[in-house]
Amino acid sequence: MSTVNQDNWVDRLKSDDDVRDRAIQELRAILLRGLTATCRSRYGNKVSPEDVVQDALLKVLDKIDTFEGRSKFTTWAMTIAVRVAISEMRRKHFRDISMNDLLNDSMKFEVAADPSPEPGEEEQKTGILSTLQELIESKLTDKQKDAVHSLLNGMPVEVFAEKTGSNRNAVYKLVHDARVKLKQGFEQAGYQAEDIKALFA
Amino acid sequence: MTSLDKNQIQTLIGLVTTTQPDQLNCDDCFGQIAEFAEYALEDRELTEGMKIVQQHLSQCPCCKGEYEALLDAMQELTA
Repeated sequence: MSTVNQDNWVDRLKSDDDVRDRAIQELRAILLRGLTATCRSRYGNKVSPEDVVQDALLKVLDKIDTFEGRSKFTTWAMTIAVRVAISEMRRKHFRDISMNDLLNDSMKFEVAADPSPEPGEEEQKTGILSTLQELIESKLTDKQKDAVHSLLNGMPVEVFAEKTGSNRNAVYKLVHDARVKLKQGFEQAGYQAEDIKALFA
Repeated sequence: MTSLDKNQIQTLIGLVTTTQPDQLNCDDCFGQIAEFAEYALEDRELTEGMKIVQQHLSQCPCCKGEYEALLDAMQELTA
């Protein structure tokens, strides 16, 4: 995708002379340009690209032996740089929010009915929301409720994992398993996903 | 007791009703996201392997956010 020459990035970055220094400067400029677009309008612009580009560059150099050539080198490097930038943005954005603030004083959900202009539709929605409430209470563990609740408050799984001493893969699985339980619960209660989606669209 | 607002209810309904089996975790997805981005940027037809990445992205807001940020960055390089 980049118009930059993709040849020999790995060799140049691993050489011992001026070639390496020039390659690092080139790569830094590329990452900075991309990160400028990434940092724009995300998480309240709390992170400047200049603040994260050096860390991103170091991570790219640290991982260079894992580059397998399945994409262009610059795309691969930008993937790492964007992860560094987004993680920092998320960390800063949620830094002052404690799990207690987010989860309030109870793990329970109160799903209020949504008034609808169509009387029949309102009844259907109320039934679905009531079922959802019951499923949350009966099928999900406390950890799953916390994770889902945090997600609904805009907290990325990455941040939830960090704040709870877990890891991203584990939290993603926790939430995914919760979603599967709720979907299966709906099906067992006689509701199909497509019908529910249509009703709440 | 915490109430969910209308948007949160819609999000929760969306999360539940769109749930599909997912063969990847977030680390697996990250390992393939550069390649997936190039498929998207070059408008290439997805292979079966790339469809699995797409399926994870459709269910993981965290990875999807990073993917969209990557696309912004890569599009900036070609602008």
